[in-house]
Amino acid sequence: MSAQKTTVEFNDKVVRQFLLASVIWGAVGMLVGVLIAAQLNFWQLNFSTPWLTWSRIRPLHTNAVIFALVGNMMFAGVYYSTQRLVKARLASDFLSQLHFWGWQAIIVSAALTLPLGLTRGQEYGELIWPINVAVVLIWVVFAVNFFWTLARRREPSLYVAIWFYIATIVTVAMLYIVNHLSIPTSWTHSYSLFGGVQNALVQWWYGHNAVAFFLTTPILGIMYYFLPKAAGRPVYSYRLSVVHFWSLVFVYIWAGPHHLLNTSLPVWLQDLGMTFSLMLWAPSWGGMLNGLLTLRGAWDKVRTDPVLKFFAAGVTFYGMATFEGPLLAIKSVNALAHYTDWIIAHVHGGTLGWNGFMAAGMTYWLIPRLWNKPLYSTALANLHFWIGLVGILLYVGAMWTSGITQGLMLNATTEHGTILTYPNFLDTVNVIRPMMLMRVIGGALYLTGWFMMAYNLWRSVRGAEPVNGTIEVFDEEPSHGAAQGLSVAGWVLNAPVLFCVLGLGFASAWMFGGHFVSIAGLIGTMFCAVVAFSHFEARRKKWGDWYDKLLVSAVPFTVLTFVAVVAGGLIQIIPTVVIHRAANVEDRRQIPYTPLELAGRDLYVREGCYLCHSQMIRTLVPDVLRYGDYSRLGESIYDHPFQWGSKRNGPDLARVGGKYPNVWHLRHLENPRSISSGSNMPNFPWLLANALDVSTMPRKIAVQRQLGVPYPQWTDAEITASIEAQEKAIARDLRDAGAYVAPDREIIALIAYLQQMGHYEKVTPTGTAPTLAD
Amino acid sequence: MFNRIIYGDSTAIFTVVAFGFAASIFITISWRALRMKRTQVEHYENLPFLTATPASAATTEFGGGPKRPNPLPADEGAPLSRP
Repeated sequence: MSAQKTTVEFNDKVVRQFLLASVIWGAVGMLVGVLIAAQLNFWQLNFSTPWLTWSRIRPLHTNAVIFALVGNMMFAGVYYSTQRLVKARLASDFLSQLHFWGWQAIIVSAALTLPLGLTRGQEYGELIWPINVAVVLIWVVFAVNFFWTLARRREPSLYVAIWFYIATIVTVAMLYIVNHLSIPTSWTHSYSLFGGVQNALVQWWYGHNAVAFFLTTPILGIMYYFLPKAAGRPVYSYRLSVVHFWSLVFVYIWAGPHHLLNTSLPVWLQDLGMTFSLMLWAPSWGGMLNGLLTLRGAWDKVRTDPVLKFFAAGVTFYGMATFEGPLLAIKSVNALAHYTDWIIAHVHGGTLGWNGFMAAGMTYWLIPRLWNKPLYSTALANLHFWIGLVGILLYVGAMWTSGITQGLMLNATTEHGTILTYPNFLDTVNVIRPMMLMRVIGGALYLTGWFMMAYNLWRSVRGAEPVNGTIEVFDEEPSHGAAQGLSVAGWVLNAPVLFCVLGLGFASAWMFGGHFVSIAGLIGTMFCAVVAFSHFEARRKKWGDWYDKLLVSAVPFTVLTFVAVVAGGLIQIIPTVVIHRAANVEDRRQIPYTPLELAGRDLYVREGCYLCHSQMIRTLVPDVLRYGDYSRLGESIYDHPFQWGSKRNGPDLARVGGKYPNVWHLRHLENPRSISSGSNMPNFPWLLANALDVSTMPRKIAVQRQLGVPYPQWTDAEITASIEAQEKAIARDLRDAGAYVAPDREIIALIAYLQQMGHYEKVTPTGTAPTLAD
Repeated sequence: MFNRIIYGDSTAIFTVVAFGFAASIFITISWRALRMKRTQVEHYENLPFLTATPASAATTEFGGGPKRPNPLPADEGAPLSRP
């Protein structure tokens, strides 16, 4: 039978679309970033407008950069490289277009809803539930298109870049779905399924691994494809890339709790997060060195070629950020750095340096290939690089200085550690103002470079003819390498998988079982390990063959990658979710909010107060001296979503309730500078003008009850009566203090919530959670 | 142990076991990667070079300048050898 040669044309149209979208949305996201950085210096820049206020558009900045800039860039890189690595056109043109337009619709929806204050109140998970559903659907479209293409591949071997893409697709799906589980109260509002520490753990399991599997693994795949192509030589060590992939996938997923160090999170989880974060040093630096060493012998090209310049600097920033991350995950370093600008420096080293520069390098590399026209100006691309680099260094340098300065000041004590050296939080803010200004300049420079790229791109493609890549293939080539891969039975019924399943089963019995089951599990685990090793020694070749076949079998590879990432999540989350119930809380337990306080809390979430104010007093002496007794687990057990926060642009509010009179909060929200001279907090005048919408409260309380908050079976009338009574009491108190506000204004509800913070009840050893009716 | 997982000190065992588990994976994969055959490694590392869309033949300065040879590698054709 003679092999017939045919030409396959790649679907590069969708690559071009995603590439252009990445550049456009990147400019929008960074423009908002520069605006909010400027607002920290000049609070007036919100123009007393709700939808331009820092705390509402900061999520717009983060979501735009993560999901719009990096997301679109990632899809462009994945689709371009995958088609060529597997020698097949994308499986479906329809799914490709659905993916592109669906993703852009999601971005537009986010850009409209976030400034309106429609948010879930969790960082990087702010989008409201209908958009969450759309994200999942479009991600499934992406997954189907990708795996369908793999199934039609003509190259049986899966290059390491494809491994990273597979890990990205399955892990992001898992993280996104679990973290966004909510019960809707309306079309634009929902309460997270998890509360308090459960919510904190799930949120940072998601938040950290969004960085890992959305901002890192796909870009590593892109690095492993585009860097060798640009350098004109294979990756330095393919062996190292294998170690890089598996160790990263196994280790990354465990590190989320390092975002919650020194908080009321159980100590074993904090230790777990810190240990695995430190372990991440090895694979991350392995990958970074592998990238940089790929340029061996090609460094002379870096001098003139902007693509290699961006890649070399991008990979270097990856190394820097992944050195800094584990460093910040050490508890004692974290005590200084957490809640300060040091974390902001770390994040921007990664996003501007690693993601932004890799995106720029890939864009410059793709332009001449996708439009069959030379880049308009190499000199402009080189200028973009230098301006961007200076911008990043100014930004990151300023934030390092700012973070360490403020951290040292906030933690400084005198009189043998019994008195704070700088008791006024604003003293520490005003010291870092020059650094905050430098950040604006650095960000603006980086944005200028990005605009240069957009201009270069526009001039390059203007009048150019888009071209699609092609490849000649033989008709008879196997479509998916089935002959060399594993059959379904083959990848399940074999020694490595069976021993792993058996071992995990015994280990689970050991960890979670009762007395006898636990001992049996321990013996079984040891027995399984010994037998597995003996079997491996006797059938070494078979074990090796299985692994080799795994590398050309997409489905088993995907399933095992999923098992690798799911293990870390389950071990952290399941015990906390199952056990952390009100009945098991020791020491202190939160008192459920009254209906008005709950309404006020929803306003607190709407305005994004958690982005500047934490509600978590850490187990550190300076925190306790400044804010009061350290926070206990039970004190936020009914908080859906939790509001522990991750950054303190202002002081912690966990125990602010009762600290100041109602009128203090009124004046402070109306104009913070009337109370706190030198404050950079924006005015919130609309809270005095807007009437509180109480019509949704019965439904919200019903959902809270479903979530386990011990509310009694109130009627709608009882809820309304409770709200009105508390509103009137606060309004009366304000009037007595000389401030006249109608009882039905939003600010009354927010004051009710703020005044409730820090209130708890003592838990009796045998007591069950009381209800408000009690 | 399990019912005091929030507060109990004995739960430190989780960290130790998890560390051992991840370390064993790391060692196993490293051993496996080191034992990859040279031909297998060369096959995998050359996969990006088997299919390519070449760059436009020239690059210019600000569109109208003299054309220069494409500095980017012609990445089609035979697999590249290690330099």
